[in-house]
Formats: sequence, structure tokens, C-alpha cells
Amino acid sequence: MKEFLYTKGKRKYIFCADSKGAELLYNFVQQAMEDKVPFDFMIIGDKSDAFLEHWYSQQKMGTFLYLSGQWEFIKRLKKLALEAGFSEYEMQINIVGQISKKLVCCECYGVNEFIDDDLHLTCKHCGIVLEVSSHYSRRLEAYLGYTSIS
Amino acid sequence: MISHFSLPYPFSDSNVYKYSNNAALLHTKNAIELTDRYLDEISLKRELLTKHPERCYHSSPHTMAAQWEIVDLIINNLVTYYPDKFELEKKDGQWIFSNLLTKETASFKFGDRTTLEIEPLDFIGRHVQEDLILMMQRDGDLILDAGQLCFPANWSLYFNSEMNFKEIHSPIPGFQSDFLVDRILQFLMRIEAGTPWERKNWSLMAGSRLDSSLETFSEWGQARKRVTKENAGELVHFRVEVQKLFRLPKSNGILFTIHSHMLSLEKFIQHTPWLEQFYAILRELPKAIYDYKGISLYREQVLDYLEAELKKR
Ligand code: HEM
Ligand SMILES: [Zn+2]
Repeated sequence: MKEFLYTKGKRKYIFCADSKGAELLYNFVQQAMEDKVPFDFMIIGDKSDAFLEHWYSQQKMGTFLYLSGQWEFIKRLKKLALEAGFSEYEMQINIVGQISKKLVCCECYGVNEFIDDDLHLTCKHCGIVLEVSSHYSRRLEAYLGYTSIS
Repeated sequence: MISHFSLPYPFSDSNVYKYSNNAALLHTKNAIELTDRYLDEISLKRELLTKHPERCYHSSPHTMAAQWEIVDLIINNLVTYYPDKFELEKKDGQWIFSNLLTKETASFKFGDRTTLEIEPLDFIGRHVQEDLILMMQRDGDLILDAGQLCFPANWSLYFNSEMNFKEIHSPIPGFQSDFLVDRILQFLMRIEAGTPWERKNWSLMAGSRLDSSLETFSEWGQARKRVTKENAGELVHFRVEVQKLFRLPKSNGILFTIHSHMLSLEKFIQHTPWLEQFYAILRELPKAIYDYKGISLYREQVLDYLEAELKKR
């Protein structure tokens, strides 16, 4: 992942964090204040998707977005931002803690959580051993777990 | 008795097999082919669809018009090429379709979903040996929006549903490089109505199960461990998928049909040229490809068997 850095010269900044990710943004907020550039700083507690959608869609071209927080939070806010018209180039993200991903069991379709270093895991629904693959379904938002015969 | 001639042969003149766009024009234009296994395979298909609907059938809601086009195409095909086995009568929008082999008659109003008990694609798929996949074209891509799949070669319709062409093919080694997958996609998007295409894919299978789904791999995959030089001829089967591609003129979708054929190695090699060429191909096959095809565990045993047979000729 790219280094999480403050990029100067944007028209406006949005700083968005969950409670775990906020601290990392304080320096950036400071910087924006010194540069006298407009910004919003928000710690998102239980704001609804509808609220965020509305807020994102109010932003003008040239607005730059920083997201900092745990994986689930980042996934949700990034998805909403992309839907509201932000591109990957107009945002930076910082993930706090581990990235947990989903793995679908090829035998029972049960969903399991895994982290990046896992190569194998035992399906918590049916008990078979699954090999983690890079085959990804956007419909299921999950990777495919293959069984092996050995 | 089944002779080797009942198996469509997948190789060209070359003794080196690599992935390529090996599609060719389908001159006969028939989507469907009936073999002497028809009744057995139809009943197996229906049993699987009843027991495992989530595994064998998927459709997105917006596919209904394309599904009816497929019904039209396939019924037309059946009555044209097999007039002694299938009949169609049309009366004021009412279609009466008869399958003389299964002794069934279905009556429905074409285009009216409520006049069939199941979705149109599911309905017509239960009368043919082929698996049927509907790819819808949008945003310069092809999306797997519906399918009836009972005899997959170790992949999952449930998992692959609603994926685009590239995502579907991402597990295949070397496919992303050389823009092969891009070129094939461009080719597919240019397919025109009335000009269908055909290609063949091959693999080996330890055992003879047609329903080699990913979901049941831990059952049928075990046979791979039992292959020896002595039993390879009987246990290992050569598997060929005849795949056909049809543009649907109204919905602009593509119908992809897969007919899976299987023959034991001992029957396959009765024809000496096939034995010679397949031995050469299997010996030179890149590791990435035989790993992907699931042959690694018993490739040596099969090579030993083929070599011994070659010496006898
Ligand atoms: C448009 C309809 C098509 C669909 C729905 C489709 C679907 C698939 C699927 C599901 C697999 C198995 C992937 C896995 O292991 O998970 C596969 C394999 C493959 N496909 Fe396609 N495919 C299509 C068209 C084509 C075409 C037109 C070509 C080439 C001209 C092609 C070439 C291949 C090859 C080479 C493999 C690997 C097979 C092997 O080595 O056994 N496919 N395809
Ligand atoms: Zn499971």
C-alpha cells in the first residue's frame, strides 16, 4: 500500500476516521489549518449510509479524501465514496489493525474470516480444511476456499 | 459398444498443447447434440437439479427475455435436427412442445413466465445433455447472469455467478499474460447472430463421474490417488467438452453450451494415432497446465501406461 502522507495543494480536504484511526489524522488537520485550506474532520460513530452518501455527494471536484480506521470501516466508507463519484486517485486510506477478508467454503458455501497470511483454514460451518485462493467474487464479496484431497 | 469414434477429438496437428483461442466456425449451426447416453444423462441432470438447486442453477432477474430466446433457439434446433424425437406445435401464441424420448408434452404461452413451473432456461435445459450458460453483454464486458450447470469440470456456478469473463478465467495459469484473455473477450463480443462458434476443451479424470463439481471434489477427487499403471486404462477417463457460442439477437446475450463427453483411456487408445499424439502431448505438457487440470497426482502412472501400450503396437 502507498504511504499515508499529506498531499499539499488540494482544493479541500475531508478527514474521516473511526475511533481507532483518528489520532493519525491530527497532524494532517494541523497542516490544513496552517495552509488555510478548507477541510472537514469527522469521526464517524454510527452515522448511517444515507448520511454519508449525502455528505459525500455535497463535495465539489478537487476535494481530497483521507480515511483512517479499521478494515470494516474503511471498506464501508471507501465503497460509499466510490459510489458518490470519488476516484481511487482522490483518496488515501490507512488501515488500523489487521485486514480480515472473507472466504467462501466450496462445499457448504459458509463464509469464514481470514487474514492475509493465512494459507489454510478450517471451515467453521462444516469442518473441512480450505485452501485460501485469490479467486474473488464481487457478488459474494469473498474469496474462494478450495478443498484438497490430501 | 462405444467406439472411440463417439468422442470428439480435441487436438489439432500439433503435438504441443498450449492455451490459445481455438474457436472455429460452427458450420452445422446446431447447438444441441444427442448421444446414446441421452436418457441416462437427462435423468441424472434432473436429479441433481432437484437435490442441489443452489449448486446447479442460478439466474439474475433481468435475464427473462434472454432465457426465452434460448428456449426458442434450442426448441427450434431440436425439431430441425431431430424431427423424429421432438415436435413443436404453435397455436395463437401457445407452444406445445413434445419430447418423444421422455414421452413428455409441455404446453406454455411463449414469453409468459407464469405458464411454466420453472424458469425458461431451467425448463429447456432439462431436455438436453448440454450445460447452458447465459453471458449478458454490458459495459464492454460479458457477465455470467444465468446458468444451468450439472456437469462442471471442477468449478462452481454458485461462486462464479455474476462474474465477468476475466474474473471467471482468473484461476487459469498464464491466461492473464499475453493479453490472451483480452483477445478472447474481444473475439466473443464481436460474435454475430447466425454465426455460431465452437471450441473443444479436454482433461483427464480419475473415475467417470459427469458431475465433477467443485462442491463434491472431496468425494470424487479421491480416485486420483488410486491410479496405477495397471488400472489407468480402466479408471482414468479422457474428458472432452464441446463448447458452442451463439449470439442472441434480441437481448444481445451469448449462449454458451457445454457438452461433456467421456471415454476410458483403454477405449481412447484403441485408435493408435490418438494414443501416439496424446502420449506426446501429455509428456510435453507444461507443469502449470497439468497442475491446473488436476493431473499431477497420476500423470506419471498414465504416461507409464501409455508407453507400455505404445510398445505393444
Ligand atoms: C463465454 C463463455 C465462457 C464461459 C462462461 C467460460 C467459463 C470457464 C470456466 C468456468 C472455466 C474454469 C475456470 C476455473 O477453473 O475456475 C474455464 C476454463 C477455461 N476457459 Fe473458458 N469460458 C468461456 C469461453 C471461453 C473461450 C471462448 C475460451 C477460448 C477461446 C475459453 C478458454 C478457457 C480455457 C483454456 C480454460 C482452461 C481449461 C482447462 O485447461 O481445462 N473459455 N472457462
Ligand atoms: Zn464449509
